[in-house]
Amino acid sequence: MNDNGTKRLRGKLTKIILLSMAGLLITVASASVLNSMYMQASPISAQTAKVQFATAADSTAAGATVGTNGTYVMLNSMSGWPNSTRTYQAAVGIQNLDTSSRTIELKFDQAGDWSGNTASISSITVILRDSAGGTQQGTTITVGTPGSSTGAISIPASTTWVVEWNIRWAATALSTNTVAVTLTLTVTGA
Amino acid sequence: MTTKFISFTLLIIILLSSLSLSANAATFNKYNSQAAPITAEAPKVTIGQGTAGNTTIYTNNTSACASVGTNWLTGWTYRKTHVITYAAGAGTNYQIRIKVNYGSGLDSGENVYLNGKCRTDFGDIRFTSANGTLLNCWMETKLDGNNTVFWVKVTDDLSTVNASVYVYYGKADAVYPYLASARAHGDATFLFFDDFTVDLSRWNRERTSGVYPQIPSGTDYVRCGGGSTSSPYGLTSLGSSPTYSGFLNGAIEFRLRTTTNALGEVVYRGNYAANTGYKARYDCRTGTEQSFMKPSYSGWSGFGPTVTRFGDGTEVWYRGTVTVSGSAFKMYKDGVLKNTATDATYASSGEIALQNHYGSWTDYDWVAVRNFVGTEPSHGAWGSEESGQTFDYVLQVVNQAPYSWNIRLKAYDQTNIGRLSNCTIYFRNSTEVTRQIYVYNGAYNQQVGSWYNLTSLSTVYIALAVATNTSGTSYVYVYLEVQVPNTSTSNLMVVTFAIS
Repeated sequence: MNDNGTKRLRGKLTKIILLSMAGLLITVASASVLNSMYMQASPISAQTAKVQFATAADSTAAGATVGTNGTYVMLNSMSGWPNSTRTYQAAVGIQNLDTSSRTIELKFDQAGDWSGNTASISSITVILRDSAGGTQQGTTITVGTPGSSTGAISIPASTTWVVEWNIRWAATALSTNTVAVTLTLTVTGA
Repeated sequence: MTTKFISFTLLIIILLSSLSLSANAATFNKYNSQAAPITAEAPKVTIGQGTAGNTTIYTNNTSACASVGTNWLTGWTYRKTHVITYAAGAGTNYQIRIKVNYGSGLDSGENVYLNGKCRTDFGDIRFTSANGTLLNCWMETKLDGNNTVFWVKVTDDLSTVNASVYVYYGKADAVYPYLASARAHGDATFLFFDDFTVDLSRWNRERTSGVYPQIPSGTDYVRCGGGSTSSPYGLTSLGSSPTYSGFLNGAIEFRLRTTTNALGEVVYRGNYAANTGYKARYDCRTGTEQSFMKPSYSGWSGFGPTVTRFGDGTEVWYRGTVTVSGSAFKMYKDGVLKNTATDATYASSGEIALQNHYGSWTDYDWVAVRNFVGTEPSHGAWGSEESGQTFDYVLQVVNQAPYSWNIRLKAYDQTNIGRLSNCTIYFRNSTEVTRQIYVYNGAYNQQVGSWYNLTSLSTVYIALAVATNTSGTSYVYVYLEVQVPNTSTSNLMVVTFAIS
């Protein structure tokens, strides 16, 4: 192709682009003109969770039941004595099954995430550690404080950390008092 | 060229697209961790009151504050307790003789052995009552590195109940006298005292012979001199009437030395002006006589048993004691009873006086008047050496459940523990003790105890042993950790120890 041919082709392309942009403007400006486009997601697969809850040393004492696939855990037998701090050093584990590190964040999200006789609680704190009684990972979660979280922290590949619960009932707490707490574990990435 | 341009344009578009995707990546997975119910339950392990110190147990018996007031003599390392057995009529402020031995031996009677843990000059010996009050004492004799004799004024009433005293030792910088002077110790300990280290202002020179009685220059004894074996025999008398004329019953303890043919005499219930009272004679001549005489100052005659004269004319110091209880009188030489007599002629209180005549002189090194009853309080048992005050039952930890728990103590904070030369906090049951926290010379030597298995429905006590080096109050803040066996589930209870 000689120079004249090239120039003609450029001219045509320019015209095509300008016409296309004009068409697009007209399409946007004209609400009555619709274009249907399709986004197809297929297959959406169910894959094994890369980060899962797992039982730990104090799971039995805490009544921990890890849901199928390890993406849910229920702790249904934690308790405490009034004016005393009950510690479950390893109520449940969080394990990274992946071959690379993962960013996780455990959080007390909002006020509605706890209920019951919350006024009789002196404090509940949750701490992520690299082992029972080991090094703390991230920040201490104060239950009852919306947004209190460990912060986004990276759990190394093939590693299990433990979740420590510290429960302190007020001296005036009655043996009929109970509270319920929900924490959210966010795992970043697919 | 056109192909290159198109490829370049597409590449830019792809790169921009990927950048846009990265900047807005938002792929999350959210899981729930639910804890319900978290219950408040009745404590299975509780803290209870002990019998030592003052304790406050808080609601639900899951926390406590225990205050122990140590009566340990601040700064001293060791002590032994000693029982003084009461005697009818002894009353308060009775002076008890205690012989402190530097070396090892079996503590018995007035003798206590300190196993080489006191100063060789015994400057660190102190006595206290059971409640920790420092008792006045006077050191009569000492032989460095060997033994010393103290007179201790026991403030407790010894008439009807026994009293305990502590002898403290083990303080390198302590000295005796710790009052202004040894004389001050004597004054504080006895009813009347003089060691002649100052002057004769406590006395009246009632009968003189030449310059005597006097304290020879540069000495610390009084010489009743000027005696003679020919008439008028040079009687000298030094009476206590200016400062002390209240002697009725009691013991006169003194140290004297007598020269050849001297007649050392100690007057009691005396009144020089009225020439009343008695005297006990330490006669250095040979032969026999009635060693008790009356009246004291002139025209006397003997009464009571005739005994071999027992004065020592060799000019060597020796000890004399005269005891007076009602109408019963006794004389001792170096602790050995020499004569006993009774008489009721002079029943009023009076002065004491130190005398000599006939021989050249009698010297008196010191004289002390103490309380005395016919049957004196006696020495009871000695306790073993203690290196800190012990409070055996400060708190109790009770397992309310029919299964075991592991428990231990963990110190998590403190205030002013620098004054604790020795503080041990431990569990004790009927058979053993388990040390949990140990402060030595003001710092933690052990801050966390080992686990103790608190078996089902059982009780263990928390005990303390404390020694301090300064006064004040120390606080040790402790967690009582109660653990479910074989787990890392535990309960922390706060226990505060206030140690003053």
